[in-house]
Amino acid sequence: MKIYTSKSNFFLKQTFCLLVFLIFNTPGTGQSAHGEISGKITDAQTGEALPGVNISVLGTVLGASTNLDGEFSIMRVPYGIYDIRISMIGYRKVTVERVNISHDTAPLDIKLMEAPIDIDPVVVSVSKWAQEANNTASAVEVMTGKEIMKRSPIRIEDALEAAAGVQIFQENVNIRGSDGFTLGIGSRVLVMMDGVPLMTSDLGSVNWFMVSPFDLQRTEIVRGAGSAIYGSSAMGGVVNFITRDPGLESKTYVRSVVGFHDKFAQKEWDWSKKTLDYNRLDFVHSKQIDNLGMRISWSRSYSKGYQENFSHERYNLSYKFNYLFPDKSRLSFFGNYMDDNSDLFVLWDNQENASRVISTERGKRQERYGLTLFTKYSRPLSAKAAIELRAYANQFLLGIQAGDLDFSPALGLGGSLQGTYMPFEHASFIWGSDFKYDNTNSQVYGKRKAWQAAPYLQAEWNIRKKFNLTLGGRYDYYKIPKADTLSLATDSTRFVAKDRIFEHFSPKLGLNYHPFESTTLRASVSNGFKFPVIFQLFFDNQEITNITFVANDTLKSETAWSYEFGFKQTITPTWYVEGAMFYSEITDMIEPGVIGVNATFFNTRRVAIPGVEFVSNSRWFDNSLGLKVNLTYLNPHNVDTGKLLLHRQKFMAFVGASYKFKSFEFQVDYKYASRQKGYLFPGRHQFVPQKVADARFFFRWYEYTLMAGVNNLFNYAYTLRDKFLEENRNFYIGWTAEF
Amino acid sequence: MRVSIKRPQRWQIFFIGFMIALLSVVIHGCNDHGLDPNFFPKVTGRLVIDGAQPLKTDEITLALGLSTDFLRAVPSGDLSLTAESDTVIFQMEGVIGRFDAIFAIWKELGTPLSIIENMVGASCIDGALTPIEITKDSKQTDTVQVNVSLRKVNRRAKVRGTITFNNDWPDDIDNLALIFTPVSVLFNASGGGLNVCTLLQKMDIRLLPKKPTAKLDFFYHVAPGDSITALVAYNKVGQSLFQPSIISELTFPPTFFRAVADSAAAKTQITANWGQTK
Repeated sequence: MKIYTSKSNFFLKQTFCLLVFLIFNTPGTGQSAHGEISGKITDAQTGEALPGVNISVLGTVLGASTNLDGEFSIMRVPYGIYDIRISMIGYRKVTVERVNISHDTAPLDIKLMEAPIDIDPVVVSVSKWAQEANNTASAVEVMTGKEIMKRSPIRIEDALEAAAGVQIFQENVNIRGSDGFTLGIGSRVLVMMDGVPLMTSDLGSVNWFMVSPFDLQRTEIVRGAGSAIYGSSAMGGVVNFITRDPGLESKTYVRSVVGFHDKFAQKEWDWSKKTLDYNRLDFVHSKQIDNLGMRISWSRSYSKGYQENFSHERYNLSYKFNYLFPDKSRLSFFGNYMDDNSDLFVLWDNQENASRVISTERGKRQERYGLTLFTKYSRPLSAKAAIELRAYANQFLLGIQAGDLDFSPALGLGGSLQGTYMPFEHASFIWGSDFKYDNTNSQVYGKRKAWQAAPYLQAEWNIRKKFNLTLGGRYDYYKIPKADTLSLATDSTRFVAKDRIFEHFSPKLGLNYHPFESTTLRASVSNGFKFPVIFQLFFDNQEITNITFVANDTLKSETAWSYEFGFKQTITPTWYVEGAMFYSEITDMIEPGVIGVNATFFNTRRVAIPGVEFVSNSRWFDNSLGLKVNLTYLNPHNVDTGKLLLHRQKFMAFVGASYKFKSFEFQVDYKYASRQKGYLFPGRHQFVPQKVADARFFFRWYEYTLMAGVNNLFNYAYTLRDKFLEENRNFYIGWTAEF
Repeated sequence: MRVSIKRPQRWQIFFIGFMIALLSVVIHGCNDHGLDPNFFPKVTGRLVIDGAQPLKTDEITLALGLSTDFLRAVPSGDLSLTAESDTVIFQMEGVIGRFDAIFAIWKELGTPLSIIENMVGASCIDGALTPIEITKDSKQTDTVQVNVSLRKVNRRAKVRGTITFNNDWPDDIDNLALIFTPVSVLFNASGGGLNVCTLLQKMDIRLLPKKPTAKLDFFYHVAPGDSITALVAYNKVGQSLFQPSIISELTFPPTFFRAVADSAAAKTQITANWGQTK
């Protein structure tokens, strides 16, 4: 036995030493010879130099971006033969194969073609490292910053509805039926900015207003379970807002939008004789001084509201800087402050007066203040290994004049260490661990603290450029010690006074196969889980709109097995179609429910979400006409009863068409979602499908863009959640300037 | 070198066709305005209330429902009420369909709405339920009368005791209940004189666990009375607990006791024999 132990220790030591040797003595840090690859990237049509293009030496962690003159240089590349990938949003990606890097490598001179549709974008959200979307085992969609700007004159989350399988219920983002409506509480979709979670500590929800559309370079939307690498909050998918790096040249962007809401088509719902106007103003300035890039952005949004008691005034201020050290390591810092002062419209009184709030809630308001800070430091250790450190803090204050609620400060501190290691040309390992500390002090759930630690490891192996195999897993440990102080409103006898510990291992296996150059097949099976958030466990004894919310501190975490098979076919350089079949089976799903006059969260024993999805994205006639079609059919149901889950729709369709002519562009979107069958709050409710058409018009003149648009063109009245009218027809005009 | 892309004719045709089809769908789909403010027709009527409102009264609410499926009865939203002594004129939101009656439910302050335990009356004519049919076009139904008796929920007396369940009870019981009722009501029932309206107004139904232990202790607040009968009733899945046929599902023999208001709990012992129903 002793001998075995000794051998085991010996083996462990040897393994550890080998790993250290591989990470720190890979080519590039040792004595091996190094070369340099440099070059210039230009626009194929105009011949102009392209700044900000990403160049990656595949099979290594080395890369660079082009400067103002379109030039780049990557030094200390170990001698050898490499593929070089050149990518930029809005341009067709180019991979230069078998570049021999030696002491006299010839410079690359690459001309990039504009790509109205990015068939195979480089994404970072699927596996936490930069890879081509077509090589991942997940369905991922990229929306460019420009696209988001055009689709979101006021609310950034509205733009996400153009993505397949995505539905927005006020503050809930719902991917493939994973979420119902809970005001965002305990969201199953992880929302991040530059890979850093934006979820609040107590609610597990997102404050969308802190994301300024001008700051975005792109948004990556990963559909399907992401727990194997992101953990609890990503059981339904991931939305990652990637912000722009401060530009190489000083830039200022200003956008102003003003609009007003039309009267409802139903004259019974006219509630105000005033003009129900709204506006939004955004200002962004970025500047680069040597290796230091900075960007500051400010936004203000105001609306009188399209229904009674629904006005808001919001401010957002954010700051970002990047510093590039001579050794190519990089430090980023992001800070954001948000102030939201809104009326509170929870439920309507009755359908006859649907635009009026329930009488007991009239005049009530909510105030939210949020401070988010995060910093990232990334450093290549060698040509084959890199590390990234992240730390974040978010402080969120919520004050709601509903019931007896008062400010509920929630502090979230977190961090992560992540490493990338590429031992071979076609293999990579992503490893790391996330840490989180939550601290809340609230009248409504007492003083609560929680800790989380989650190590993860994922391996990707590209076999002969045809197969890509993904294997990985993540272990999450989340502990909420018993509270020393319960909330004033809480009936302490109903609480189980013990620590709550949630732990789970989430594995994933994915396969990606290219039978032909233009065809991608992918399949994956993964296990995910979600633990209940502090609000779901402890929010107790609060009456809102005649319903008393009671805590259920015995909630278990939910677990899911997800299976997916998908394909992507590139038909022409400007047209691809994508399809997927998916099936998730969730055990102990945490859903809200009302029993009598009490609302609570409880575990639903077994839920299944089977579905199919189809996407077509294309541009025609010299790219002047664009057409995007998303179709999703799913059936999120309780396996025991067969009933459709609350707030879920079985069929969703999105059709977007755009036409460009010289400096003009015209866009029309149509969104359809079949009617829901159940809401949370008791009482009768008419269910109708969602049928919304939006139209927009843009005119670009030098550095100015004028826009005009109408949302909900046909003034269609519908609800997506309990007793709450969605936005009626509204018109807006605006302008954008870049200088 | 300038490269020109030849446009295949079939794609143009495909696109024009597609756009026309799309436009047709959009226009067709959006020619309605969605939610209708008057989707729920109004039902008006009179509540005729017998007995004083208990101190713990939160409200009396109404629900349209089927006597075979009470739990699916949907309580009304806010009732527009105008009072005239013991008669209250109400207006409630209806829903399209045919219903056995409007049922009245008493709601106790601070407790969830319990449809079965606190049903206090129904729309009745001559002891029979008044069916109500609401169609899309009927914006307002004819006036109906809902008879309510609050005596049974004036629960100012107490009773405690033990129920002994004999024999093996079946698994397919939907509801098992302990019923307290004045003796006179039970005698009328035995003679076949009980109607569903009387049942709802006078029998105080308290739900028991579906799978009780052999001996089940109980303690309840009940309406005072000189001679109260306590007996066990049940219905199987798919049957109604509220039909007059409930009489055939009462377990006999009944026990009798006297419940005095604001006094110590009366004590009684009940024996429930599966398979020996009357």
